[in-house]
Amino acid sequence: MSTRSEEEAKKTPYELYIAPRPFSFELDSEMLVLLRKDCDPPLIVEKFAAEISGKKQDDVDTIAKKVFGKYGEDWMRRTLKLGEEYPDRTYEILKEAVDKTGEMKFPLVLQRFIEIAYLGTQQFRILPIVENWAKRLVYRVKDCYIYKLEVEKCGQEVAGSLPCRYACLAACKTALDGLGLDAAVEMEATMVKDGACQFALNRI
Amino acid sequence: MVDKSKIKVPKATPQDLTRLPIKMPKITIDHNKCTVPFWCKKCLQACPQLVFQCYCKHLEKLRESDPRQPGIYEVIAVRRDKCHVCNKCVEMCPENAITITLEEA
Amino acid sequence: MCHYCEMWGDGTIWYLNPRNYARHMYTLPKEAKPGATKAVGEADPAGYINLERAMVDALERGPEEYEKAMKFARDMVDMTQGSVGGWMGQVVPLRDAERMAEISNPLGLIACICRKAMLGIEERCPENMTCMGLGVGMLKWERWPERYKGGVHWLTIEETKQWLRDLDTKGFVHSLMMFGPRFIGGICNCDYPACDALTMRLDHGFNMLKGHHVAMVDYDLCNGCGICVQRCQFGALKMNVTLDKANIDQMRCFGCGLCETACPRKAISLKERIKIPSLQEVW
Ligand code: SF4
Ligand code: SF4
Ligand code: SF4
Ligand code: SF4
Repeated sequence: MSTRSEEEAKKTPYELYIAPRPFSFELDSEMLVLLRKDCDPPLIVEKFAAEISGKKQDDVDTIAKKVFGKYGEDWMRRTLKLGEEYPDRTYEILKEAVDKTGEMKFPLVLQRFIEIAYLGTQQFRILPIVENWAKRLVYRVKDCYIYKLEVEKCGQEVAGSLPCRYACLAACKTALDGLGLDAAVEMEATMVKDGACQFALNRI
Repeated sequence: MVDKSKIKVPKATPQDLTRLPIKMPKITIDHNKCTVPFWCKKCLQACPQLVFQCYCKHLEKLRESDPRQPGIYEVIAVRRDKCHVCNKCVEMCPENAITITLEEA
Repeated sequence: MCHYCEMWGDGTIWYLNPRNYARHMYTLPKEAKPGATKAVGEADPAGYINLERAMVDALERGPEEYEKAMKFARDMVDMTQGSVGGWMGQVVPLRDAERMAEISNPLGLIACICRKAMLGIEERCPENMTCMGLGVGMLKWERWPERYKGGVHWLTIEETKQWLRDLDTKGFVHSLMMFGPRFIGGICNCDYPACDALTMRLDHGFNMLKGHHVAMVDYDLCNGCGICVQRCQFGALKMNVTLDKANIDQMRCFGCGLCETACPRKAISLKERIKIPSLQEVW
């Protein structure tokens, strides 16, 4: 390791870092509004409630897979598109880091889009990340807005079977495909049993 | 959540509490004379006991502070308990900003 | 098990548990105004000096005042979980530091804040940077360019390990630092007394924990060359002149492993602290 001495450092022009523009490191609020407009949870839960009304309990799961699976895909596609269109400074730096090291696309780029997806549609301000390292990305959804609406619109019984999990699972899958990453999606905890849903994207 | 009752901290206090209060020299730095300490930093590096610390008084978001501008940084004598009055800092200071006094018992 | 392991280890050594490195990237503002940037409650990077100054000043005023200042500092750490000048940290040997690099990201090389404050050293180029910032907060370093003088330089996991080994060869102690609740945010490489965290621990018994290991010398292998003796920053290792062997005071040993990596005859090994009855509770 070569070291630059104090004296040399003083001889060369002393460059001070000054940000070229007032950066924003947080998500663009306009983007979040657009995302919520297109993928608002009440719309999809109402659609689902209408589809299952009068249907047998056995059919509910098939309908959920169809309706929420489709929603999850659309929701994440829209997120991927909007997320690219509205970069923030955090994302710019992240892209620099990914370019330089060739690592970190999993989990960090993935994490960014998953955070946008949830922050843009849910009612919480932070998506708790449980693990984010080279082999695993794990996040937790507490106080889920979709689940709350399900309980209201479809009743406790239907909500208890967590039809909405197809949306989250499909969204994870779509995000992986969209970013060209390979990982297994797994549900490690559920709202009904554990009080929060926990999703893991595993590369192990 | 974190269980605060579980937080234990190392109980050792190497300073012999019965010998307190310990007598320390008074070190004063004239900030009117020492205006650009992070650019000069002679006392920081001359003191064998690392008594001095230098910090940025005017932290700004999104920009680095200029150490060549007067008044941005300040040097203070933090670890006074370790000073053995070798007077190296006083000799080194180009601005004669440091004075060290030992009170007589 | 140290008390951090009890709280956050989930059955393993806490700093080898990936959950203690994870953090969210974004926080929505309380009410979303278009185009508004959030004011961040970032810790003043120079704030830690004040705690130390208060403690030294209290030394002059007597034991009660000193205890009071100490209690204030500790309450501060409990309250903020290390996010305000708290130095919740632990010494780690090289091998554990390398494992830490595997389970956290991004890995960003930054300049040392302690040496900047204590010695006025500016590590403006990556060749002499000695601090490693972990976690997504590093992506936002431009909020405080004064703290991150010289910027952040991204490393791969392998580069990080090599960099850690280089610093180990130079003789720096590795330690980890917490920045906020259950969040390990950095690997420091430093020495006494330039490192404020080590200095506060050694001079005031304040908060930095000893590592999970203790070094031991095998007298059959040691030939008394004395190479290891220069490496100990904690005053635990000296020459036993009578026997002509290296001698370690295990009550003082912090388990940094620097002597182990330096010994050409592999005479020093690290033993697990919890397996030694008299040292189990010595953190
Ligand atoms: S007199 Fe010596 S020990 Fe005291 S502050 Fe000056 S240089 Fe340091
Ligand atoms: S040597 Fe004197 S002028 Fe220079 S930083 Fe120290 S007190 Fe200031
Ligand atoms: S470096 Fe190894 S052989 Fe040399 S004195 Fe130390 S323990 Fe003994
Ligand atoms: S004896 Fe060895 S392991 Fe223990 S503190 Fe000293 S250098 Fe570190």
